[in-house]
Amino acid sequence: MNCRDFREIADTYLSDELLVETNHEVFQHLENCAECRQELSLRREVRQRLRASLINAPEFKLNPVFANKLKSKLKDTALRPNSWLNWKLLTPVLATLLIAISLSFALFYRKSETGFLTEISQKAINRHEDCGLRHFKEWEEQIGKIPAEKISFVKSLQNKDTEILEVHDCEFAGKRFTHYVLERNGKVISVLKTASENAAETNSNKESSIVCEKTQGLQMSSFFAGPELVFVISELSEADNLSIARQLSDSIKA
Amino acid sequence: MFGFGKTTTNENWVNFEREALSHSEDLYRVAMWMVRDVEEAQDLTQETLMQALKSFHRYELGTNCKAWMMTIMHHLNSKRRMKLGRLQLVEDTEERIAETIAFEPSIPQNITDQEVLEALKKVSPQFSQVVVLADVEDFAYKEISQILDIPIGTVMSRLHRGRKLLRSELANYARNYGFGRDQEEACG
Repeated sequence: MNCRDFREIADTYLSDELLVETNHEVFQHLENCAECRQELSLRREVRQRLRASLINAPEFKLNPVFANKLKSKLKDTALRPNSWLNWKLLTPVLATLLIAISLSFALFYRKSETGFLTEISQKAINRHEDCGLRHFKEWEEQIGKIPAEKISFVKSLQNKDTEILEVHDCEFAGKRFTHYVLERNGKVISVLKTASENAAETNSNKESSIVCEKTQGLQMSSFFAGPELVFVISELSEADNLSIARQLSDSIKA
Repeated sequence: MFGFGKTTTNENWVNFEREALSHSEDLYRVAMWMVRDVEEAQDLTQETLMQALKSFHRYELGTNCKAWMMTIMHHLNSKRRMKLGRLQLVEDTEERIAETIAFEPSIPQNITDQEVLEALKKVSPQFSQVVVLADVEDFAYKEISQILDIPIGTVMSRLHRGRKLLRSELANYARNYGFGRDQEEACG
């Protein structure tokens, strides 16, 4: 090792980052070279001064007031019972719980709603089949004879193609309906009105929607009108059945 | 590990105070060197300690807590600089300037602490930063590599150049004031 080599690695030697073998070479060189010993001594001194200058310089000292405030803040955070530490651990658990509860509620509500509607729908279909379809021939003779006040609810549906045959109250399995029987182009239409037994179903969102479905070969449209539930059941096409339901719903709102 | 589920809140605080908070002076010093502004350095120190407290369950007892917190601080500072649009990659020109110091300047004698500090301030931050971490804060090359997230070879080359630039600045300083040794001694 010569002096140039030594000066290249002198700082690494001071940092104790040289390999053991290289350290031996450095020792040997320093034993025989006063210049490099002095250079090493100066570099060590520069390093000490560098360290001292930064550690002692006022501008690099932590303000004691700030340090105390920071310590208090950290301590408060660490010892706070409901600190972020707990929240951080609890948040995923709470979020999962909330989602599970929401899903359960939504599923339960959906099931209740479906069950509720299905039960009444079945009773309404029974009225259409067992009452409307069975007796409509008898009622055809009454066309134009029903007092106007009794048919005001479906009056808007009456036109050259659609006649109102009958209106009466009937009951099936404990459920009472006001049953309007109409005929369009030889096909029977039952409009059945009944009280909604579920107050939650009479909310404003429900009032604006008409639900259509095909069941037992029949088209059935249903909607809420205030506290009442209205069914339109027929063998008409889905579009025609829905059109009647919409016309009726609009006339009620008007 | 200081798992929060395994120890009480009070024990955690005692451990944090002993292992981490005792280095707040060192953190501030390096923060100050990085940002050169008292308020920014205080913010950076506070943010680092808060982050360290939050992540303290990940700290492994027996490892270098100061190095761990310096790593956090470096990441926070990089993010802060990126937000402010101040993040600079290593500039080739600075690397070249460091390379062009043809000779190894000798160190002047009779220098003061203040002169050393002034000389270091003139060295480009990317080189002075590793010099501070190695020669002031006593981190090993490997630790600096982890703190700054750069290869150990880059740490070594930046240190080599940083120290060389510092010696060069010190030599200039001495020459300007008419004292110190002449450089370029023929030796070996």
